[in-house]
Amino acid sequence: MKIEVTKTEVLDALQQVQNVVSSRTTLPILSNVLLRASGETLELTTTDLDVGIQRKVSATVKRSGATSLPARRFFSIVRELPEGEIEIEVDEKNMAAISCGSSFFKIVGLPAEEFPALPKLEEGKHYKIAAANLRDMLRKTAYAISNDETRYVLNGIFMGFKAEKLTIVATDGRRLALAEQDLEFPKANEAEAILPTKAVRELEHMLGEKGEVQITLTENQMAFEMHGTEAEAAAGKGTEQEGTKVAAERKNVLLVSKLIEGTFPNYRQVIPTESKERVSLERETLLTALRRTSLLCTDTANSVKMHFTKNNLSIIAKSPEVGEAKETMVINYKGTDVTVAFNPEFLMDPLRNLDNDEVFMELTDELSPGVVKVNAPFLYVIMPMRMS
Amino acid sequence: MGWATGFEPATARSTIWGSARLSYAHHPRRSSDRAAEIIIGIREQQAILPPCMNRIRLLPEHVANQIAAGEVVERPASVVRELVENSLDAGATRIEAGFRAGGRSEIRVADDGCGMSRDDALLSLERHATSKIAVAEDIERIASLGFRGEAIPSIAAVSRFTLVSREHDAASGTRIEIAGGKMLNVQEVGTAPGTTVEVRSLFYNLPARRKFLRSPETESAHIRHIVTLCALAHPAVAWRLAEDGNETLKLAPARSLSDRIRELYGNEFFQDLVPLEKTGIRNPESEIRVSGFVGRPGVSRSTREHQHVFVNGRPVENRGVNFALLEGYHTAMMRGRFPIAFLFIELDPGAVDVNIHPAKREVRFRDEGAVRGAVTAAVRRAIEPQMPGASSTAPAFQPVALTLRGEAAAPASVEMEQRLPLPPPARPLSVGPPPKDVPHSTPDASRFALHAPCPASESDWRVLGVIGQLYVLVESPEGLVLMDQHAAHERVLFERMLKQLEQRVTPSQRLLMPLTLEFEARDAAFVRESLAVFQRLGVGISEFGQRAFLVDALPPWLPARTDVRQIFRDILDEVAAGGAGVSKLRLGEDAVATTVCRHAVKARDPLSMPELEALLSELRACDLPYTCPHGRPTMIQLSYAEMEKKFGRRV
Repeated sequence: MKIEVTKTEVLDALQQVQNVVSSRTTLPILSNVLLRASGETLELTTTDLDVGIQRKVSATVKRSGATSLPARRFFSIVRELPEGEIEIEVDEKNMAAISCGSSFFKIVGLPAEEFPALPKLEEGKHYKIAAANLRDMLRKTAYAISNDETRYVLNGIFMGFKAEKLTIVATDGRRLALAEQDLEFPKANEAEAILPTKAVRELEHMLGEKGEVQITLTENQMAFEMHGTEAEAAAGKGTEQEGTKVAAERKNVLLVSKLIEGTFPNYRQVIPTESKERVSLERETLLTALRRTSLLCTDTANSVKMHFTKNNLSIIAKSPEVGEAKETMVINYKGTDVTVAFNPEFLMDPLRNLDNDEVFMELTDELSPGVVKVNAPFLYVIMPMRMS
Repeated sequence: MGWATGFEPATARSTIWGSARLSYAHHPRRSSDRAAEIIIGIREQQAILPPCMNRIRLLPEHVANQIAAGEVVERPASVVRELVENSLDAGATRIEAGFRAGGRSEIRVADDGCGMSRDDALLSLERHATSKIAVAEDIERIASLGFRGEAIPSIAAVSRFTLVSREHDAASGTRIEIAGGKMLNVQEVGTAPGTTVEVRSLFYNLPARRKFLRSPETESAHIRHIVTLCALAHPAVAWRLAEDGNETLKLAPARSLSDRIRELYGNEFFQDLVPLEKTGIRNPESEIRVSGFVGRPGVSRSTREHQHVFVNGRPVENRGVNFALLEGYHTAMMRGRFPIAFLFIELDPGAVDVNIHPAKREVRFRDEGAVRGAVTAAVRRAIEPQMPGASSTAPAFQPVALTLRGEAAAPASVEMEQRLPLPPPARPLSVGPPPKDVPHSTPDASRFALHAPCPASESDWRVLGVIGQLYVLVESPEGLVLMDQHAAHERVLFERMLKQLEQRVTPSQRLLMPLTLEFEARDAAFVRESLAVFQRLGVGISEFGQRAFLVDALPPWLPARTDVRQIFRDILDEVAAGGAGVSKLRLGEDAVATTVCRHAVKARDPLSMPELEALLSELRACDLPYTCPHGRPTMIQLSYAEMEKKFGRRV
């Protein structure tokens, strides 16, 4: 194998795929990135056997072939190389010679045949969604994923394709975030899946502003593929500077992940159907007020009390050994007085990840779940703290 | 009663039991023994019947006696126990016990108690003959140590037995000789008032049982243990114990339990104890008084061997009491360590059943919960003032010195003990080698045994510096103390956080989706009883069917990744075994330990002198300053004595 690639292209690709690589693995090949050169492309692949990422970059292929190189080391070498063309030549013993300008490296690789191939997902249900929309939905929900390994079905996001909608749900048993998006697909493609946390994180990295994602769902695998063509079309409209930025995003990326087996809890059941009071709040103001009051929360006293009275909201944090914080906000509230305590982190999470100026809180009493909504298909259920 | 006098030792049918049978037949006026008579009648009839007719037959007397003896007389120590208890019941003020070859060849117990007349002495050899109870109801309120009237005939059935007894006002005494249950000789002798029993060749007629005896050393240790226990229970009695002719224990009548403990274990050991105030549940119907001594916080052993429990003056074993004791310490005791205790529980004899174990080693309480509660409360009350900082009015005792008793240092300390001139004044009355079960010299003794406490004052300790960016060097009045700054800070933070948890109203984070937990029947019953406790701790739990429970809220400090089922399982295991109330601390301990570990200063964090001094004084103010929450030591000491030895200043 002998190729020539530009440094920025290959660096960008490595940045995207190397997250999957584990530094601690008993299978050495999993620390490597698979390089395959053919036609006019270089294909870089990494996997941890649960999640795999593949990225294609354009290259001048002088001799096609394949090898695998230690991902982290290869990445650091490329990062430090001067700007320009990099020549990579690999001999039959998988010894890779990397030269760029006045620099020359030789690193030891492993045969490409040892690298576990990514599953090919041709059969399966297909969906198409705008990358920006999917990224947005993930951002609004992924923070609520549970890391309690004993409840493994919650260690990922639920994706439901149903009734011409994609519904994404994440919960850790104390709060629940849900986002929806209209999506066109044939009725036969209605399905559900739980995508593990790691794949969600990688997907968030990989999704850009532009372009469309092709989703393929099989019984126990899910693939997300971004094609260059649509992105290129979009790039054509921008200025030259935007063009290069988009150029970095348009690349052909594929993410394949195993799914979490099991049944996601019936989330519909925990969403309150009606609430007594509904109050509109400015997101930024509420977030900063919460951020300030929560400064007085400790590991053992991590709750803030919210008192809703006529046109007023006061947020109080109190811990005997630290002190007390109080924030008051003028709000538009005509309902009955309600006092409810929440874990401030749980309340700040959605506020940080939403971009609407206005949020709505729906409350009933101090023991009933609170609901955060916006003028978009999103909702967030948060369980209160019982203080007595 | 004349029946016994007519009996001749060497007659053909000469077991005492056989003779008794005869005499019953000859004296039908003993109406209280009608039932016995009837049984005997049946027995005699059966003896005539051809053996093939019935498969079930009554066992011959001597076999039945051997079986009964097997239950009561398990080993030489049980013989000693029974004899000593008889002496105590007889109101003895001095008891002399002696044995040879681990009790195999000879056991001798002599007392100056009330003694027995010739008739009583003979009757005492009869099964179920006793002076201690008279009617069935007496069993419900036994105040004496013995009550069954089984011990003496049982022992006599399996040994060569001699009993010599004289009442105080009688002119002469009686000497009875029995071998394997056969009466050999009864004669009048001159003797001191009181009773002396000699048991020779124990189990000589039961080769199987004899084979099961352990080495003489082991059996001797058991006997010593029994005598020690009885000596603790009766400080006013003078004791003497001779092993193979050598006096190993000699105790003068002590004024109090504390004197007796000091006498037995030495002053140094006694320094590690705190008295239990003699208080209890004041309810007159079920008054439970707990008194005695327990180890100071920080004093622990690796086994329960040093927990001596006495119920109404009777040494007993009761798991419940052991657990209650441990519960009294709770945070002051590391997991897997056990406190020292001399625990005297007094309660209405009717509220305790001693008749559940053949050797009366175990007892059952009518209201075990109340007893446990009383023990826990008494222990807690006793050790709390010992926890520095818990109360400003408490005597400012602080455990100060630690002696490294690791493998390397152990020989040194042994040598030091040997070097001490003469027996220490604390044991003026003990002659010969000290009892082997002196706790502080056993190999299982705490690795970091505490030395005598001395009044704490800040100026006593001086921080010298830090080595290896981790170990703080401190000069103490006793030598050099090394303190691990990370472990020390962990302990300080741990206790601070637990205190906060305890004081605060616990909020609880409600769950979106309640968890269902299922327990086995016994645990379920316990959970059901403790629902209110769990609620108070911030766990929202309610019944959800027979054995299932619904958890809809959890205390917020539990990390989100906690396995709730595992937590419940752990708590149940611990609490069901300990019978203690679920405490908030239990629930949060592990979480807190993990959190503080994260916040504590690390090995390489440079600390300034004022910081080090503050850390030291805070650590010394902790309830259990000697270990970090994970059980590693926080401080070790190199005493001047050890240094002097190493530098060759002392030999």
